Amino acid sequence: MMSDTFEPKIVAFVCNWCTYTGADLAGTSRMQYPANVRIIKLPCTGRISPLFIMKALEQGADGVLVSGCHPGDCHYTAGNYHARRKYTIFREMLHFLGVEPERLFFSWVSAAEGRKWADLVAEVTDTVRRLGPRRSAWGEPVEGIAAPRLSANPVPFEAPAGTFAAQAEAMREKAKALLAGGEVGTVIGYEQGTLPGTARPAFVSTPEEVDRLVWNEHCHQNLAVYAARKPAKPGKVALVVKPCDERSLVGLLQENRLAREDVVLIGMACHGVQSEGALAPRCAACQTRTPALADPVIGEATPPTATADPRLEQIARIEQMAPAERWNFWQGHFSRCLKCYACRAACSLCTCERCLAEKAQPRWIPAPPDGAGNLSWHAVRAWHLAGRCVDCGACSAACPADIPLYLLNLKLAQVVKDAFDYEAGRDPAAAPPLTTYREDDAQEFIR
Amino acid sequence: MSYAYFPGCSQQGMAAEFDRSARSVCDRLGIALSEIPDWVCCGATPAHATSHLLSIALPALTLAKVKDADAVATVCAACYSRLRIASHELREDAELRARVKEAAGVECAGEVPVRHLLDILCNDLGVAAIRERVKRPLAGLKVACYYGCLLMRPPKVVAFDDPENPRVMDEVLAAAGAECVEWPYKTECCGASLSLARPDVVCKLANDILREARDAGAHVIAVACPLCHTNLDLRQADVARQYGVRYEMPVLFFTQLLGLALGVPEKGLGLNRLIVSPKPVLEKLAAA
Amino acid sequence: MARVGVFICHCGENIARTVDCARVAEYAATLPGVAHAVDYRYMCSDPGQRLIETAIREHGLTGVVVASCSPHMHEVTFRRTVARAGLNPFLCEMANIREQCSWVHEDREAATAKACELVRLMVEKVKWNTALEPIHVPVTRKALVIGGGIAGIQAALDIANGGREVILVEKGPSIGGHMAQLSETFPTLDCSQCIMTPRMVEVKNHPNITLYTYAEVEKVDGYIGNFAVTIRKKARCVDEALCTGCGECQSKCPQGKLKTSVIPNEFDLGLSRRPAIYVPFPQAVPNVPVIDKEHCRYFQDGKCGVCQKVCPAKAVDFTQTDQVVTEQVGAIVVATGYDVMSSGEYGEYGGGRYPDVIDGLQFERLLSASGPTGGEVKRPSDGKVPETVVFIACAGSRDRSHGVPYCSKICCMYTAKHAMLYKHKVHHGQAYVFYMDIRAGGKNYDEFVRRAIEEEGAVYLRGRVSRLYQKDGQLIVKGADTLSGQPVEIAADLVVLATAIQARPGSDALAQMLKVPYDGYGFLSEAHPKLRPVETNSAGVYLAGACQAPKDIPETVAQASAAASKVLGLFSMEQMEREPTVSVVNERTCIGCFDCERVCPFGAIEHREIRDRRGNLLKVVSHVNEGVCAGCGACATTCRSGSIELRGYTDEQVFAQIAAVGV
Repeated sequence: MMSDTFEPKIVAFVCNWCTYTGADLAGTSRMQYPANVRIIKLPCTGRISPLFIMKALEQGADGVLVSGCHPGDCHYTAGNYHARRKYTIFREMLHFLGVEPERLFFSWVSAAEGRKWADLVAEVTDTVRRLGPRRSAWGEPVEGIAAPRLSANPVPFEAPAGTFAAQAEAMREKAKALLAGGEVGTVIGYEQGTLPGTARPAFVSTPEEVDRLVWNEHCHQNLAVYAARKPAKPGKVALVVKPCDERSLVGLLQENRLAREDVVLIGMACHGVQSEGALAPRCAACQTRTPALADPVIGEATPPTATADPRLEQIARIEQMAPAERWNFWQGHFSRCLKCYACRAACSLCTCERCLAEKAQPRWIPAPPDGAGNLSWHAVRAWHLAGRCVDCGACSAACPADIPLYLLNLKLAQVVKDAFDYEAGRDPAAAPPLTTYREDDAQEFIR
Repeated sequence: MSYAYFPGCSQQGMAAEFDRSARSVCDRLGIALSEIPDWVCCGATPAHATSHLLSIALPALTLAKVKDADAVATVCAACYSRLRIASHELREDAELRARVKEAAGVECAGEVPVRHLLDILCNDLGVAAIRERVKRPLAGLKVACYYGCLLMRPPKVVAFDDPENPRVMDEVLAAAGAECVEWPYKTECCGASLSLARPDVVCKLANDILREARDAGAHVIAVACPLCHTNLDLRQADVARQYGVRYEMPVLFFTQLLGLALGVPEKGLGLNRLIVSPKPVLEKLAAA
Repeated sequence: MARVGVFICHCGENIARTVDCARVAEYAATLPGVAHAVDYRYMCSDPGQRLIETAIREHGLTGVVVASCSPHMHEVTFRRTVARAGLNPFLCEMANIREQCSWVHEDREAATAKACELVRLMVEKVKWNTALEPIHVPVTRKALVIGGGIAGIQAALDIANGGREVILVEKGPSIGGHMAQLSETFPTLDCSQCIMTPRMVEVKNHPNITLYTYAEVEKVDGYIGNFAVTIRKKARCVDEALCTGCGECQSKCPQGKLKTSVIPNEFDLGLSRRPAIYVPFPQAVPNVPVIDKEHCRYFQDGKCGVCQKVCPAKAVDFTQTDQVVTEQVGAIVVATGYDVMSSGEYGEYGGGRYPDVIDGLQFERLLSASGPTGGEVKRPSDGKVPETVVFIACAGSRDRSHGVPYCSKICCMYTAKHAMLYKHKVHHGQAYVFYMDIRAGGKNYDEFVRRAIEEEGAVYLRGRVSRLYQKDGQLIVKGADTLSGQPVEIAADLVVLATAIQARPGSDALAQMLKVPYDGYGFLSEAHPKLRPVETNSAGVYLAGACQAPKDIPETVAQASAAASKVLGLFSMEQMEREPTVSVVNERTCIGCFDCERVCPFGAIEHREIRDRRGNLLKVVSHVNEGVCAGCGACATTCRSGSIELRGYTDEQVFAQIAAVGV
């Protein structure tokens, strides 16, 4: 068990108006509590970014406490409502990655609740003391516990014969018409890839070049990644999209990255894509085989199957692991990360001109491809995609190190769906879940 | 539209004339009633007063048997109330559906709407269609339409008209040629099943209703509920004893009045089953 | 190169008893960037402050950390101290080693170690602090008051008397609001018109007040200190400059013959009729009629035109059109008042079918000397004087089934008043009041209600009315008296319902125009229910009166004066000075996703176009309006690319503090 001399280091991020004042009240009333907490004051929990929590853990904190005004009492009216949503997702993510949930505390402490503050600090200190020090440096595996492996059961790929060919024909017709008519300057679609059995993105700008375009089970790339960029040739852009790719477009529209009239969508009714000879796992449970925004939609989709998403089973298995095992699982994968940022490049929703990973002051994400840097990178990437990722699979496909990025993204998508009843990429008019709130958002985890 | 008909227990017993006249009326008006095979009691007050699960499971047993019908049709206000409330709760509450399945062995999600005959007459058929088929208008007959408390309450679940001032029955009987009087006791309670435990209370309430109907100038009272009927018709003699007033106010089911207007022979209406005979009133009208 | 000064305060024994201040100062001196570290008995005292000032000058300090009490106590003190020494006040931070250290830990070792760490955290933060200057926002020192009831009138007068110009916009033809409709007011039974009309006249004549009646606010642009308001002055069809208020037009209007007019008089709430050209009530301000085009024969059929012919001042002008004006103002006071729920809402109480079931405001008109019955209590159906009147309190309020769970606050008082005034006018009459509770919390309020009961003989029955119906020319009221446990049946000649006070229809549209939040009932939301009752989340927009929540006249007047004082405070200087701890956008890295705009509770985010030298649009980025930003930092947390910083709490500053923990 733990030695008696271990004194946990707890960092507390508190809001100025309620909790800080409540802590002052505890002081004025001379209530005694353990000396392990270091308070960092911010104006509002709305300012207490989950990145702070991550950084505190990275810098050696054994426990983190975040506290602010009770919902409805925020000095800035809504800061804590927004913070609540962020913490709901972020703590689930950290738990999924293997951080013991008992190391993170969230509370609402008002300016009048000096007693609550003192008791809370005592409880937090005691809990974390019993958990022991953070088992390892941020991003290092735990000694003596093996990283488990997950396997997937492949589902065979099936599409009615001739379907792809007919769709490809119609798609090329449409592309030719758009280019010839001057409606668009560039059509972005798929062409035969370098290796047999692959496809790759193609940029055609004349009707003659259109013949290069193909459509088949290898067209897994999400071409929406090019949607928000300025094309090389003048004029609008037409994009060949599968339903999942189209959902990225919805996200881009929500985030003002482009206007709907800037892009023509050639929607392809989908039969799933192939991965390692079988139906890609993300396609197995997909229920949206027909694009909703695109015009035209070419072809008839293969109806969705009733198969359960095999990846959910993998997530469930991770969730059954104890925190140390989970930690090792993820460290095992992240240790192969080269920091090539292919995942970022492939993601259509990563459109920031200056990514946070490139921000040097302060350096939230250490640059080197070591344990700390990789963990921080992937944690922040998944966090930034929470409520936005449309499960197009581009990141996982692009990763040269075969890191199962989809697991993390899918887990957070689940959390967002359960907590806020929101699915990314469905409604261009919907407010992204982390920019809105409901007064009755769940908060069982907040004391 | 096709209707799965739920007669209800009272309509096999004490209020057999309600059922008989309702079927005759629907026959005349071309409303296809198809009796639900092997239906069971809706539970009425004994069920909902003692066990919520029972009060939902009993209607579920019947509702689960309804296939290929646009709606379930009822005439009795209590059956309507119980079936409709059960249907509503089953639709909204997945956990309840599961418990009912476990308890009664049937799966029912309340998909088929439950309607009262007045609702069907007024809103599906329409009063114009009724007026067209009236053979012997009830001209000169002043009717106080008594709705009772169950037909429109609780409003959010069962009401098909204004719960405070309903008019469906008035419109249906007006289409039959009657003059429906405006009177303030349309939805006042008759005492319901206190008829057994506290007949004195029923007498007081019935007396108020009968008095107001009389003061409003009504010749007869029209009802849509067998228990209301009992309390106002069967108990008129007790009222007379308790309050010393003989109202001699016939109380008929609205379907009996409607049937008269549609030309249904008296045998098909069960007028002879009424305690306070409507004959004097009807004869006086016929003479006028 | 950072040169931070660290000052450890003993605070007498308060800190020194548990924290070894000398040791903390010694430790602080070892921290990189610390040029000077001392401890002293009382840092906030004059000599203590001089110590800091001297050190700043002598050691060329670039930042100061005072380790003492809570910044809530003395941050302002020490920031002023450093400012006196020529150092920007935002380069001074405090480490709380009293309330959050010495006072809560007994163990000297642990407390001292913690104090050392807290000092280290603050030293690391302050190295990243930057000099910040207060933000100056120019202020147009003219106010707009929307709504000409007693709230608007009071606010306008207070601001005008404070030496500032006011524009008062009233939707109706006259100011006065609901208070003008009242007969006498509780608890004094002052004549409402008598106390109000002098104020109305004062508004009209005040040199600082511009009165727009029969006008509405159409659009509001801008922000605190700098609003541009578009006002539509609807066409009265009467020239205000020429009209003398003689009233000839009204008396000659063929629509105005009482027996034949079909136009319900809004001021009398439908209890009387009015002509098509009309002044709402005799004491109207301005006393200039308007033409109701919907009912005027000239506008509907092209006939008549009598009013124009008879007007001695030639003031009637059928060709008049709406006029749209724009005004620049620095503050807006919303005083749009309330509505009463219709008595037709309750099916149990007749559902609007019985003419003798009326609401409280209609009863006021019956009581009012200028009302439809000349102040005599006569019931609407047949003009009979009612011998028995039943008052039903809480008819709509405190009733979830009618969507109004709240208490309307004023009804208990006005119902008692009604019972009293009824008895004053009908000496042999009997008043019954059905109530749930009696809410008479104001000054002299409870005594007032007792008077109604004990002196005027109103019978108060604690219970609700289940329903009422008409019979033989009377209304049979069936209720309960829970104190005696008996059902009660009363045959009344008149029933008065104290219906719920509701927000005016369109209050939500107005709130949206002003970017003011409002609740589910349409009442506009104050910034903080206890401590900021007249401000809103929209800087520069203030609330007065019942548009915020039901309230009586004394509270309304108090709130209106409070709003006025906020406005005058804002106007006290040509420029508004605001704390500079606001957010700022890095326009180079911002991609314009505007998630920041979505989360900002104050609407401080604007869109800014970035163009190249030729004027081509490169991108639209986020821009923080420093005049409006409240400094919460929600935007900074939300921005994924880290393109927004909250000054005073930048990522670097917080990062430095977090990193300092790990050392």
